[in-house]
Amino acid sequence: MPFDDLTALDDDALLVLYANGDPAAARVLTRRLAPIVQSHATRLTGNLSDAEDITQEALLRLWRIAPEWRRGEAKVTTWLYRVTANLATDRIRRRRGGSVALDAIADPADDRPAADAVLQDKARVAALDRALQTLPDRQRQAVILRHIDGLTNPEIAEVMDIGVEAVESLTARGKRGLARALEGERNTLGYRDDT
Amino acid sequence: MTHDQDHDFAELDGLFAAARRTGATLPEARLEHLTAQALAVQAEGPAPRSAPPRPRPLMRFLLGIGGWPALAGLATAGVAGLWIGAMPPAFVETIAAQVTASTDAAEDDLYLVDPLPGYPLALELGDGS
Repeated sequence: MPFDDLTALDDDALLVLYANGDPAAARVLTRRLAPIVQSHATRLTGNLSDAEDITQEALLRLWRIAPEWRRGEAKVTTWLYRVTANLATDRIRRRRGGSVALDAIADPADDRPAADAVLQDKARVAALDRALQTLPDRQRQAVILRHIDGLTNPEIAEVMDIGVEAVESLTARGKRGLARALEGERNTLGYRDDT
Repeated sequence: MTHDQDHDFAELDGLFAAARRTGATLPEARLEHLTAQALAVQAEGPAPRSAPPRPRPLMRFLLGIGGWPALAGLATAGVAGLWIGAMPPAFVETIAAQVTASTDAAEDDLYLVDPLPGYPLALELGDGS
């Protein structure tokens, strides 16, 4: 592919290239960031259709602010997580009590483990997503950012505009809430044998 | 059945790991659509910045002479000029007197010059005979 050489660049550098009119940067950034945004939005909203709309809107906003992006001031992904969370909050408020789209969790594309392991992973992730939807919005956001998206507590604090201690409190309470919500599904998730 | 908290959290970590393994994989058509959107915004170029409002004539004059500091200097010079005119210091009066005197003499000289003396005028008019 003609844009292979750009894949080694970080998001900041690619966004500058995008703003300068480099079409290859647009392709690389889209393929890198869209899955991150859509995965995060899916777990925040519990709805694939909403997540797709949020992904499109969040990326559109990124493209529009690209010419004014100041390198080194904030990480592109941090900015995107924040925009995604804001868009998701709007959706959740408009659609309280909506259904959880279990199909939102796509199968892994490559290097997939054995079929039974994939099925078990899928069942476990679906249960986790159901449990996540029982948490208050801020706890859910903090838990997803920390334990699924892999952000550090200071990064989450920046995304959520709160202190690090508040992040720790939200994630701890969120995990306790998840444990309670998943208590009844231990056997169906295969943890009796695994643990 | 009850479990201690650490045990529950250990199982949660396994669920989180499974969630990380099954991150969203977007269909190719969807990625192409999002890429087309990115390229379309890129082709539009940056949003045009609105032109700053054109300053009024008085403001243009002010900017032309150097802005408010220049206007302050101009005002100070004007007030100083008025003050010197109304209450001139002694040395200014002396200089003024000298200048006036020399000017008076020159004016007197000027008035004494006859630009059209009577004889040439008579010749011009042809009644010099």
